This record gives sequence, C-alpha cells and structure tokens, in this order.
Amino acid sequence: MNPEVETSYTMQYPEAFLKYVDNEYCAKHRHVPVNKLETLPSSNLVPSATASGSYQSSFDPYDSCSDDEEYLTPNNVAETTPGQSDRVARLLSAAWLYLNSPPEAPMHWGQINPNLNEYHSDPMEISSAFWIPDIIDWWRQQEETHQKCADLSNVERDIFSIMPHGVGVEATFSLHRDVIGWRQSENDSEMKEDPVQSKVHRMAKVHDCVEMWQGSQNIRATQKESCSQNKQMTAVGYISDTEEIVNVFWSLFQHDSPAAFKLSERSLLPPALSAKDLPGGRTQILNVRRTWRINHHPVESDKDRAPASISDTNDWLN
Amino acid sequence: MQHVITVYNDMFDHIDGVMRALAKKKTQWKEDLFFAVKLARQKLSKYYSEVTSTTGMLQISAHIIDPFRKLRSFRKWG
Repeated sequence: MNPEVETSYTMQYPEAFLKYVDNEYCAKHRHVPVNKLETLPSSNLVPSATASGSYQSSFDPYDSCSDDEEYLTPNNVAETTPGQSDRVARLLSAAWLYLNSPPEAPMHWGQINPNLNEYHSDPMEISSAFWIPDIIDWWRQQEETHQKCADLSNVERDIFSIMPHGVGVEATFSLHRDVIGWRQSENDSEMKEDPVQSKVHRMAKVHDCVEMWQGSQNIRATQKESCSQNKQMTAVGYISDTEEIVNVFWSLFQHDSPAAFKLSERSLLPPALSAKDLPGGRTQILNVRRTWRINHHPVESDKDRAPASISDTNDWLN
Repeated sequence: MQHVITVYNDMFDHIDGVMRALAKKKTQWKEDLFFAVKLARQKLSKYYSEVTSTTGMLQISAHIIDPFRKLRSFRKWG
C-alpha cells in the first residue's frame, strides 16, 4: 500500500484485503501435499486415508498443532489438486462478492428503539435498548445458510478473535498509559531520583493533615460549648414570650398627660441577668427600660358606640 | 478491531477542526494550544501510518470484514 496517495484508498484497501486473504488462506491450499505411500514414514500414516484407499492425507491447514509441517518440504509438496484449487477460487470469489456487495443495512435485521431520544428516560434503560451490530452472529448465519460469503467466515473468525490492544499500533497506546496515565505518580522520575525529598514531601502531607484534624477538633469543641451555653440561656428565660405581659397598676397613671407616659423608676420585671452572672459571660443583655403595654379594659369600643340608625349617624356626624 | 480506523479518522477530523479554529488566534494561550494540537496530530499521524504496515492490515481487514462498513468509510474518506 502507498500511504502517500490518500485518494486511492478506495482501491488500495480492497486490493490489500484480497492480498491478505490470498496470502493467509489461499496459499495454504495451494501447497497442500499429496502424500505417497513410499515416501511416507510408517509413523505418519493416517488410518482413515489408508482405509479409504485415498493417498491424500487428511492435512488440515488450520491445525497448527499437527505434524504436517514436515510435509511442506519441497520434496513432498505437490501441485494443487482440482478440489483445492476450487476451494481457493471459491474463497477469492467470495471475497470479491463480499467486497462488491453493498453494506448491510442495520434495520434489516435489528431493531432500533424509537425512544432513544427521550431525554428524561433512565440512562440504563436507554443503553439496554441500544442496538449493537452483532457481526459474529451475521457471519454465523452466513455459514449456516451456506451463503456465497460463507467461505470468508474463517477470515472473520481469525480477525475478530484478536484483542485490539494486542495489535502493535494500539499496544503503543497501552504502553503510554503506563507512563502518562493513572500510574504517573508512581513512575515519576524526579521522585525516584531523590527518595529523601519524596519522604519529606510525604511527611509534610501528613503534618498538614494532622494540623487540619486538630483545627477541626478545636472548632467542634467550641461549637459544642457555645451550644450548651445557648441552651442554658434559653432555660433561664431570656427569650421569653410572656415577659411583656404584665398587669399594670392603675396607680402608675396620672391624669396629666405627660406624666402618664413617664417611665417608672422601679421595674416590676425580674432583673435581667448581667453578663457577669451568665456562665461564660459572652452574651451581654442591655437592661432597657420598657414602655409598659397597657392591657385593654373591657370598655366600650368604637364598634359598640356605633350609631344604631341613620338619624343617629347624622347627629353623630354633625 | 473494526472500529480502529473509524476512531482514527474521527480523531483526525476533530483535531483538524480545532486547528482551523485556532489558526488565526493571536492570544498567547491559544497559540500554545494550537502548537500542542499540532504536535498531537503529528503523533497521531505517526501511529496511523503504521496502519498500512503488516500489522495494520489486520485493522483494515477487520474494518472491511464488518458487514455494516465494508468499503463505505473508505469511499467517504477517499
């Protein structure tokens, strides 16, 4: 392939694929040996071949664990037999047919969930409905139904059994991940060069952590103390809803209006605790003189004095 | 295996788009980013060139052997 000529990818890739199939699969069939009885050692005789009277061995080109490599020597290799050449022709023609046929449309043998674009659906539910093309199953169907491309299923089986990150180009990324990826801190060269500095760095981290922990403990103790003080203050009655409801002695009121609102010199309320009396002494309460609230007496209100009739209303307006 | 070529080309498309967007920028950090993206493209090109090697043939073959792709992507790119 010529990587410089990018415009010819359409032609180069199919040619490369056919060449790959030809080299990897067809070449083995071209060199399948025809065994002769006089040349075979007695230990390599195949019972089935002998019993059937055929002098062709049961050589399996895909059986890598057999001892058939011995037969691939030039002395034992014969020309391609008609059956094998037919197999090669069928394989190449299957490759040609496969390349010239249009790609499979997904909707022909798969169901796509029409609700995939539903925004508020459960992500797990959506992903479970995703249709993933099952290439292996497609090739299995081809093989079972003896389609024209069925001979290529061996190619598919060999290629898709390879892990992608095991191929050279992708393995490069896997190697780089060890250096740049999640284990970068462990492979940091500076840390390896100076282990003392690394140790000091770790100790500094531990020291910072201990300081932060002590600080948090102090803050927590302070919060607990202030919380208990607040509870005591509330129990004493500093924040009370009933302290302002006090019966007022009528003797405090005088008929002259300015004196009626004069504040008493002596408070009738229990004296407020000063800061000295409080445990902790943090909260200071100012002893503010209060304007007494006067309870309403059961006197006639404006409503009670409303005129009963229109004439009375007019008199009242006049 | 069959997604390798597609992923490479998607990455190239994305990098090219970013480079086009940053090509005329004059801000310092954008120029630095453009330089970094340019280096990334060079590195990716280095790895992509190995696709055409012997081991890369497996990825091309896997792409072709996918019945849903075949040569469709190559026609689009070619």
